[in-house]
Amino acid sequence: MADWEEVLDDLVHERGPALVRYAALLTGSTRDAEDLVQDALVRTFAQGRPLRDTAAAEAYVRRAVFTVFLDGYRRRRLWTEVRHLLARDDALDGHDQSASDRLDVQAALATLRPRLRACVVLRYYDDLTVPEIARQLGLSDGTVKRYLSDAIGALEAVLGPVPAPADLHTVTLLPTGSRR
Amino acid sequence: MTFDLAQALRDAVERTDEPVDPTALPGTTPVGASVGRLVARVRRRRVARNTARGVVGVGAAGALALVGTQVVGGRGAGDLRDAAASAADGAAVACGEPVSVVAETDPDLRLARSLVTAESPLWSGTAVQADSSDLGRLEGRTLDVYAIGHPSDAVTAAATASAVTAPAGSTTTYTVAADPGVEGLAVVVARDGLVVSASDAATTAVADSTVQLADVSAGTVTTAVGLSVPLVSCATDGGGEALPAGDYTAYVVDPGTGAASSPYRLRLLPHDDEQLADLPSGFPTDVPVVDGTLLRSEQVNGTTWTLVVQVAGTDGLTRATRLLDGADAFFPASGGDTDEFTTYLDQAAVTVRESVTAAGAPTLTYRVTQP
Repeated sequence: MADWEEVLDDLVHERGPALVRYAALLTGSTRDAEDLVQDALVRTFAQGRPLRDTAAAEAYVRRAVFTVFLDGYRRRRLWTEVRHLLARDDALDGHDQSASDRLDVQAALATLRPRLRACVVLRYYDDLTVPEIARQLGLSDGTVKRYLSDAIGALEAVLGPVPAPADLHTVTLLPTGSRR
Repeated sequence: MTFDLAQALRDAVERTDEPVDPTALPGTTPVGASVGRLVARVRRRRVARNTARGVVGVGAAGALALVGTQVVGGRGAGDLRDAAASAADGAAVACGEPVSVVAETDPDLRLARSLVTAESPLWSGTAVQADSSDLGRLEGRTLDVYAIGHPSDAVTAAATASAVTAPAGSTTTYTVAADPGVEGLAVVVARDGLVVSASDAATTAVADSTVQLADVSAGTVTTAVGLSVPLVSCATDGGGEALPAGDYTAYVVDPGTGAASSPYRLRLLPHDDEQLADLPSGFPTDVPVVDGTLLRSEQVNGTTWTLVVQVAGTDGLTRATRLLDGADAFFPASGGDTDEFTTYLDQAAVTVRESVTAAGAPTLTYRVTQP
């Protein structure tokens, strides 16, 4: 067995569940998350990088999960943007179930429309800033802010108050008035 | 009391109390596929990548010249057929056989260089570009193309069901779905009427690229799948030789029925080093630029470089994409413009735009911004 095959085997068994759960935050579906992780694993290990330990490999795969998800997001975007004009969005079909019965964050996330869910995960889990999310998803900053506002509003109805995350680039004011 | 959403998400990912799925099949892993299946997919992808990249570099360019001399320059079509026929035969269509005897023509099987975006007040979507029987002039040895064919019954039913809800005034609606009906299509390349290259569909279909097109008014459904086809001779223990320069015809073939499309013209140009050698002094060394004639270069504010490179083929943008393949992701420009992409390297943001000079020569404009 080649080195990369051993690393792949270890990674799948040791970190596979966490990778799938991360992907499920983005996709909202465990089945889709498994497909996403499989594609990310194939993409990562097909690159021919010298992946010799699972920790390094996981970092690449996690990044690939994100990339593959975004690739699919962009391809589906044209359709999803207009689909509501033609038919009811399947992703909203679960809305009639009382979200208040679900105190689990994953269940709460699952009630969000896909684009809102993606914004929340990118902002709160991946620590991306609003401009970074906008760039990644091909949206304007204002649209991302609106999505986040809508999403947090919906989540707060289930989970309680959700404070805004600390900015990644915190500016500390010193008594002298200088900044660092 | 506030809810720490970031921590909750981290806990959701890293939880250790997940119950074992009693319905999981033996050999199934936590990611839903066996390691053996994943390894097989990785190997196929590596083979495809290696064959596509086999012509990169000075040594490979020399080997290509040798192939051109042996196969085309000196010995002609008969030996080309022998060379192809002697290769391992793992493809759906027999290498070295005349195209006319291996397939019947099916007008519904087509190839398209790109899909175009259509917009209207009611809907937007993707449509097959107007038919053209010319696949262009390629410097690289990978054909990026959409194969269009008959969707499976299940996909047709799903598309029809969603299409009936289309509002008055719209004629077409779209969705995206995996469709084995077209993802099994293969591309065959012929020269002088003989098959010289046949792709393995499993290695050429681009993941998640299937587009389904339902015409509400006509009641028809077609499906397109993106393929990335290595243009190598039929050999295939991992790799034949890159096809030499010359004029070819390409067909999309349905291995299930043996039917093929009508022919598409394809011209392969001489293939040199893939990277531009005469980069200006100070240009970031980690940004590969396609080979061509450097028309203009300038640096602004010490942080932004602009290069304009004239290329010979119509595949400049895809070659640029492949050279930058080490980057994590490619982001098409906003608005669905397929003539430009931006990617982010460790130390630079790179935007590449494809355009044409007044004289009709294709150019690539690189804009490289460093922090």
